[in-house]
Amino acid sequence: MSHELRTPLAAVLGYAELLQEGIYGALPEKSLPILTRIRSNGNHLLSLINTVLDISKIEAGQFKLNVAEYALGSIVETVMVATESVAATKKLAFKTDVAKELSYGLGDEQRLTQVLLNLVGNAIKFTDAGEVRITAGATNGHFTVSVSDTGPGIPPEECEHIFEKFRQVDSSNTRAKGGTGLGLAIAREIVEMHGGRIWVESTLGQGSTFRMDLPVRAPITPGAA
Amino acid sequence: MSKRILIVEDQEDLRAILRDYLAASGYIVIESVNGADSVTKAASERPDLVLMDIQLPVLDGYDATRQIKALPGFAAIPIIAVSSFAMKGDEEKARGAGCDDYVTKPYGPVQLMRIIRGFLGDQL
Repeated sequence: MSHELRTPLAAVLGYAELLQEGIYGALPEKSLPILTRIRSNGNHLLSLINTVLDISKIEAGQFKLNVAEYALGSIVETVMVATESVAATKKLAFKTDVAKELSYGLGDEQRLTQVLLNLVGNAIKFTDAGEVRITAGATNGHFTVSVSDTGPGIPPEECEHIFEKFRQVDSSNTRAKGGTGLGLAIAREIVEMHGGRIWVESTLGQGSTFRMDLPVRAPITPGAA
Repeated sequence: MSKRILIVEDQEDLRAILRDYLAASGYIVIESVNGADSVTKAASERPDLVLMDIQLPVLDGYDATRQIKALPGFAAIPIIAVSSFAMKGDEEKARGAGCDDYVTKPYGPVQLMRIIRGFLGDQL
């Protein structure tokens, strides 16, 4: 299924990139930013497809972890590199605070990266001024990871529901801020499959902190879920 | 003399994108649409590099890679696996079959070109 959905989109994105590279000849100057838009919309669609595929796998009970050794610090690094330019565009300060000498974790690095990317992406999206901060440490055989922002905060009655599918604090935000309302539901699934938990602490008007507590060694057999 | 690249890809559009880009970049492109044919083409066309899709009809990319690498004089010919799988184990499987590098779809053609030039020692 995933192959069938992604291949035509890969073709659209590939041809757009070649057009922009001038492989098919010089294009009018004005068409170049349009190709940039085609590509950024295509990449957005690709991430939506990936999200919907993840949810359908979860619902079918076919969501599997690819378990191996990972370094939490390098997950934070990957997420920072992927998001710092967006934070900079919004003039947000981006800070990371990773404890030194963390031991290697056992889990699905790619999926955990996806979780952190989702949390940081949300924090940047909903924060208009101030900072976004990732902290990572370890206590008692558990990694503790948090993503805090200085955004609008989440009403207390929403904090427990925000990890449910299609849940967004303000549905008018769906259009203004984008998103499917599925990212946090997938994040919770991934964290719980690792034997961990995820929650949010928030004060309206002051910001939110999403916290994860993950066993350093996920209680699952390597290579399988 | 222009270097020769064998593209093994069953999806017509993805093959066309690679062909157009590589040809525009001065390479001679040989195309193949399945694993078994890629082994025959490799033997007859002697490419300098192979781009190998993993999910292929007839013979998959892993087996095709093994067979091409076993051809006389092919041990040092770089084979780059191109896969839709993004699982860690799949990269190991591709490398285990003899692939020299591993790229997952969707890849940007520009990114792929950097890898190809790296292997062929051509100017970036």
